[in-house]
Amino acid sequence: MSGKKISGGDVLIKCLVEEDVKYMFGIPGGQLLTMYDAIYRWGREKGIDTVMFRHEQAAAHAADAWARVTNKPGVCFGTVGPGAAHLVPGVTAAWADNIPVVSIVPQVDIALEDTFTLQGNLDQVSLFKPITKYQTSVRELKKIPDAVQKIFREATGGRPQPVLLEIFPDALVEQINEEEIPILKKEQYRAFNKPAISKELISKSLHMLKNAKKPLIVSGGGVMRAEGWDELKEFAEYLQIPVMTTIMGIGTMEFSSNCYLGAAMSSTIFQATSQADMVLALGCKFGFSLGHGRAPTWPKNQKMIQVDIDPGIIGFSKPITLGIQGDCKMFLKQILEEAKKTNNIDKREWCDSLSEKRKSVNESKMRVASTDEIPIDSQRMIKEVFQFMDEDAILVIDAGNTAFFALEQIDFYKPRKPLSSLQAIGMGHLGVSVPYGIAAKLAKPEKQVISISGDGAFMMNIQDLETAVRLGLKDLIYVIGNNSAWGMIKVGQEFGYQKRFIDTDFPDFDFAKCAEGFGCFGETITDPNQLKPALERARSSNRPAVLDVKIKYSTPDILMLMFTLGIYFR
Amino acid sequence: MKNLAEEKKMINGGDVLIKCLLQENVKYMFGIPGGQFLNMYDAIYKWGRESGINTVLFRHEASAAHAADAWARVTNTPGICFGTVGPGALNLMAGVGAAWADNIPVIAIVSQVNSKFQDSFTLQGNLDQITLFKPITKYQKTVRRLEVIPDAVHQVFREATGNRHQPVLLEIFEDAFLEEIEEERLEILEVERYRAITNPSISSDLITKTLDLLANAKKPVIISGGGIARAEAWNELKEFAEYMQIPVITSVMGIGTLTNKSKCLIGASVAGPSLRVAPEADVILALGCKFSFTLAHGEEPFWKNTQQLIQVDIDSSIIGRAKPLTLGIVGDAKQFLIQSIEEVKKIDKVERREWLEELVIVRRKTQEKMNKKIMKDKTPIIPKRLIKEILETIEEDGILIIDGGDISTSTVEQVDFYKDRSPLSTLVAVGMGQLGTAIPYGIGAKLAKPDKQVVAIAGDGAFLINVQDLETASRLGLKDLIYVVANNSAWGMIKSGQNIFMGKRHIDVDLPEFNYAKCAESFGCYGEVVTDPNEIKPAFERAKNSGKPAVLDVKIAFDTPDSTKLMASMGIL
Repeated sequence: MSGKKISGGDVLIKCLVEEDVKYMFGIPGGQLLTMYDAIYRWGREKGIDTVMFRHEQAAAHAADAWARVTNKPGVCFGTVGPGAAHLVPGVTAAWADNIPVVSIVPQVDIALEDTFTLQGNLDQVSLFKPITKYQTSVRELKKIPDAVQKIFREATGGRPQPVLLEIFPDALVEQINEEEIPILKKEQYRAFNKPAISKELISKSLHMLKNAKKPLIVSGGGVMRAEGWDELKEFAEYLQIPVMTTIMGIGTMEFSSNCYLGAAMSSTIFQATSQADMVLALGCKFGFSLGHGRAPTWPKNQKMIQVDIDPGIIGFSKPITLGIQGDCKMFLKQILEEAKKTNNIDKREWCDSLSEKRKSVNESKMRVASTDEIPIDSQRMIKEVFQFMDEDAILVIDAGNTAFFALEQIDFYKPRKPLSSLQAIGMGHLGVSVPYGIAAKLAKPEKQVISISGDGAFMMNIQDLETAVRLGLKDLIYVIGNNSAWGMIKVGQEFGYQKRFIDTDFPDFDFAKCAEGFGCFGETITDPNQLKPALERARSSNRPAVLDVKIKYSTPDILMLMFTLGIYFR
Repeated sequence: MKNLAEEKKMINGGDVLIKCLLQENVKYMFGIPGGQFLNMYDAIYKWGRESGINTVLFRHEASAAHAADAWARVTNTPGICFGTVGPGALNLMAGVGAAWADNIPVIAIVSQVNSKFQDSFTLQGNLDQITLFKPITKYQKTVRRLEVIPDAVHQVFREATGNRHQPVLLEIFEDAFLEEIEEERLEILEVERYRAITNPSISSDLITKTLDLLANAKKPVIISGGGIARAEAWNELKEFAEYMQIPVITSVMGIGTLTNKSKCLIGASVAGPSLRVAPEADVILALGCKFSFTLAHGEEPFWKNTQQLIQVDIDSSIIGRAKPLTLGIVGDAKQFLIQSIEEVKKIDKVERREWLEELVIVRRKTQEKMNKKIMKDKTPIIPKRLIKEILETIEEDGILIIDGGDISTSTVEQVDFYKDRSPLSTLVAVGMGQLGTAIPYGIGAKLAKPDKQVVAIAGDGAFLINVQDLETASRLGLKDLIYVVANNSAWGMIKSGQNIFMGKRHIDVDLPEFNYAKCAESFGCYGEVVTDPNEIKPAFERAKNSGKPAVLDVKIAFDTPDSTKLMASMGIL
């Protein structure tokens, strides 16, 4: 007697259900029909569904955002050829920030391989090589489970990274008796334990930190991925060690803690990094937002303990005193346990003075950000948005000058929960706001989602406002700082080229009207005092909302700092 | 001494790049600025525009790449696009991929971070752009020093235009842009001094052999592919085919290489009348065609392996690749035709060929049957009716862009039925089946031929993919640029697939109603919704006279074209 026949599409979906995949972000294609049909016939009942986008790049960005918010892999897909190629930029933004995005792409029929068939001949595996940790290509149904297990193992193991699963339609169309293809439980095919740190390294680290006069903790994306925020706070406060976060680490340390110094670049941070005698770097790769780990931001004679899940990062950017491969949360747990065997430190001058400095810098900045100028000052816009935002809201920051303005005040007003500040920082990727917003909202429907972006960036994935509307998303507010310019490049032309502006100015564009065309709530704001009421109206509009805020072109302080440090433009 | 040194004019890597591009008569570079490109931009600002080169700012680099692709298709000279390191380069890729699949010479220029930040986690750093572009370009070159820029530019143009045309990549490190040199120390060569402008000809015995085979054929057929368009051999093709009374079918890339005023033209791709030609022909002369899916891969049952095939291609790797050969000829298609005409004129011309006469009737009947079916004034509008109205209205020398799935295959079925299509004026990203080319192709084509009407027919799903660049079309003040959105609120071709293979279990193929006209207006375009088939032509007139880029949102019925069904039967869907 023969059992129930299932297709390769069914098998794929069964494997994804085992990984608790809730949404797959993408656009249909001919080779994906059996996969879709599995969703249609039984997948939705099991809790898995597709979300249709209007451009695969946006789908990849959405998978990225899903992973950033949930700390689980985000899944995107695109059909062979253009679909796969469209995913590439989105996947790269995830790659540059160590986010586990799983891309699934079909290939053409094996019979048509290496022919000039529609969308044929494209070496998709090579295409994805520079931007994924692992790629696998499947030609037979029976190999699908193992392939799915491999890509999830690779995406989530060690340093998380995007991965690629390519499936030939032959494998998706093939049929098999259901009982012939058992699906393993995920505990049977990948490790859920994290590597611990040897006692000796823990006591060495603790000893070094206790002997330091001016210790400093850098908390990076690794603490976020390891969910080590509670342990970090407890440990830092126990020893009164000041903590700065990277941009990927925003929210891993509570802003209200007296040990908190800020995120990425600021004058307080510069003082801390250039004066610290001992640095404990946790899951951080010393990207450009940390001055590449180089002098003058980081003196060469500084001692450093670097903890990272990936040995490839340890000692990569800056000389180490002690390199520790391991999970950041495990490290913090173990060192906290060890530290508690000794007395806590009540007060540390170094920590308090930095904390004081931060407060006074912030206060003067807040005063500047209160200006009633028209056109609206970027800093004022940021201030109004941050003051309006819910405490547990998810914040999306798109790239360019607006990102720097937002970062300057990120920790001034309200707490930022872990896993709730999204920025494609490594790639400096423009255009993430629309898709990041959609996925963040799908991941946390009960939370407010607010995105801040520049006008140039916002346009890049504007097509998917339709998706936000179609999905009926609410309390999803896109704020556009609109100065009709590619701001960050304009800054370069202003300071490096005597204002010989070329291709950095746009004509006026009415984003509010455009958003309405897509079915969103849209409003133009020119008066800074209208920001709050407009945000209120956007929230109660019950639609995705776009606020077109006409701002003045200006240069963020951080950018000037990066300029002087030689990180930006020469 | 010091004074003397100061008098020497210094130029930077940006200047050098632009000087080299000017040598190649580059008029437009399509792209978006980035920090590493500032010197290049400044060269344009300071002296480039006066010398005839300019940048065109887009809103997404994929569009910039598509525009460069369109430029190349229309002008038959390389199109240039650029994007900054990281996202800019990545965004180009989908556009370059479409050009790659159709053998179009697109030159992508991308910057790389300063080499002092190489392999560091700097902004947009660490990305292996060369490997990324390898699968979709013929050649990749990276430059770290100013002095190498000229040679690198020579190489990318040599590769892009030599042999089978293909996209190429030029990556330039910021260092090379920032470096300076005394202008007189850097010689810029003229094009003729660094690449061959002549094309290879064919040995006379191969020509004789070819003519023998054709002379002995009862039912010969010529397939005219993209190679004829690239070699600009349309006049020779017409002369040769008519002299010998040989029927011609074109590939999609070859549309326009034979005028529809010639009775030898039977159709485009293996649809309609070509379906009869392909299996019945006894000798096939394939000119610059790779037997893609639009020619049913050259395989049985559409073709017969027993057929004799003479295949002429500039690229030896295409010859015999899809279908068994009788005679393979490496060479330029135009040279081949010139030589063949010369030789064939020594013998009497063929006055009448029964085989051709039969096919002419088949073609006429196909047209009549189709026209009868679509004359009905049904609403929602039948897709084929929309296509007919547009193809009857478009100016004879207008440029036509076809973008989408079902609407695209449907348009190709009718493309040569009404007005003539000039060579280099029908743009379809056919190899990649790329959606979303309409807007940027329209911009690239209009900039290339400002005096010509440019009309795009796009599906609704496809149209939205690069909608952001409607802003670019408005900003550039383009006129007589008309986008016709065939709007059935669906991903049609995939919906067809779900109808055929999945028992109409539709999932993620239906889109909500969307008003593209209103959307277009917000981008500064003319917009109009059309629901009545008899209103298509008047709306087209209004669009043309609007003085703005125009978007006609035409509500059409869902209908699966014959070509899509055919593709489904071939296992392509």
